[in-house]
Amino acid sequence: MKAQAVRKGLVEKIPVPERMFFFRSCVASNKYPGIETGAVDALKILGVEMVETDDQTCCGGFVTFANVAAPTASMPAVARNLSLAEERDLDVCVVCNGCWTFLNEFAHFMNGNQEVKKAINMMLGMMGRSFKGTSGVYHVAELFYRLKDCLTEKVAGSRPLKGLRVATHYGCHYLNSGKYTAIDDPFYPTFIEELVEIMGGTNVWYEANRECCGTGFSQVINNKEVSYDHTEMKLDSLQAVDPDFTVVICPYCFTQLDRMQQQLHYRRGKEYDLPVVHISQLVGLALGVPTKRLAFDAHMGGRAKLGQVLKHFD
Amino acid sequence: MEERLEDWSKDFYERWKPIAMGFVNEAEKCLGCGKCTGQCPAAAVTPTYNPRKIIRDLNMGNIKRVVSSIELWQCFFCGGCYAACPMDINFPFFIFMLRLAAMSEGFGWEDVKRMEGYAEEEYLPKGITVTTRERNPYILENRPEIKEIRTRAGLEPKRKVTPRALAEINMISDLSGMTAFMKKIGGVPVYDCSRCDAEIERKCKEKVRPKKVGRIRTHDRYYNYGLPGGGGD
Repeated sequence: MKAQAVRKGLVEKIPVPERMFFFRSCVASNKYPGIETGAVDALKILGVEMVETDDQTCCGGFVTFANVAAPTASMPAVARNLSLAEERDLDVCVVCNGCWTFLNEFAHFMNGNQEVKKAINMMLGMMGRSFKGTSGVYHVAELFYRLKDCLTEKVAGSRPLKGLRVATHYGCHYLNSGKYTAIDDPFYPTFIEELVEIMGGTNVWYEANRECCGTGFSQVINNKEVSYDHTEMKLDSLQAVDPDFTVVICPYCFTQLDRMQQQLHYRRGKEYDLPVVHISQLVGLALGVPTKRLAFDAHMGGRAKLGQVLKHFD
Repeated sequence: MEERLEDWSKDFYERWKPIAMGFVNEAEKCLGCGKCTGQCPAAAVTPTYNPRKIIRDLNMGNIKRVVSSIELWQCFFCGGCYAACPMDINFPFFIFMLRLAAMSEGFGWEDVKRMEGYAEEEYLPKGITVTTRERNPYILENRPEIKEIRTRAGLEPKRKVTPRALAEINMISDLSGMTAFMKKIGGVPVYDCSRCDAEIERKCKEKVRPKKVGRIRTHDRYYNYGLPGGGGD
């Protein structure tokens, strides 16, 4: 755990504005739409309104780290997306660890490197935009943590997750890459557990808690066997404690943990029944967002159990 | 692969550092503690992958060994090594930049080629890298169409990206040389399981390693850091 004082300082630095720029994630929009509706609705109940625009594109992290685009090619794309928030004078809220680290890291690089910033602004100038570097990028999970007093107030009477056993998976790109900027320690994080406790759930520990989901970025495409091995280990460990929900904060981990259950059943004869949810869906459920709005029919893994668990909420 | 004296370069690291655009920080600070390797998820499934040895080779100038290795392409990009590093060496960025260096020596293009489709078919024309397309027949059979799911959740059936945004990212791609780079790699076959036939099944199973990717000849890569199953050195 990060020293309490350090963590408190980092959390207090996160602003609580009335409006924020909502950065859509490509995996969330196109595979699990409930992540986005959950984030928008839950934050609205907690008093933050989300502003969206169709002018926003994908963050570009995927093509960059696949070595298809050099950083010189993707940095202007990052600057362009951030300039949309700057035009509206808002901070950015993201739902994906990948978007968070990519936007943050590259914005930090451009802000610290005036020559690069100048070159990028020259390019953006041709399309009538400019990058100033004034908008902060915040992950939806850290926003929920920032708003935990408000959340506590809203769920105090009902404790909606009471009786549910919840396992957590933080993913790599929020805590590891954000060694100094993320609100928690990369090796012993606890802030999602705290949120689960506030909502009345019971946290369960499993051995592979701090392991990567196994996507391994491009490994799931280029070296499938390696990726299967890793995910198998992770899912075995999860299945051993048999949680009601596995809560993730990244749509890409979500995809891997959710869909590999079927893949590993097909390829290696494994049996899993592990419903996976995103933190925004979980908070949404707790705050009474209708299950229909949270798009649980997009979930592929753990359907039998998910059906039972969701009966508590309808 | 066989090691030769002329493959070593005393000043590669110094020459390469400015080219790596200031993304990489000081590998020479490495203490050799091996925390990076100890916590590494990629090393857990590929025992020969060893970030500590790669940093050592980079510092010592044994460059050919790094760039011609299969291990260079095994990284998961999880960033755990950076989180664990007492000297704050951001190793994932080293891997990222070393892969570019390997490509300029003619290694690893077949891996990049497979990923290029995401940029050419999805990111640039649609503005979204991961699209609604599903290739797994199980998902196609057992899940409603994504537009149905989105409509039921109260969203537009399809996430839109404005034509202006598309024009802008394509302009950025043209100006920064990404489009030219993609042309060099050439098109990419993405196998669609719902339209699988005998020929595609054969290709899928055999995984033929191409000798040429677009106009670039690719070299074979080797397990340069020990036996793939573990052991050896």
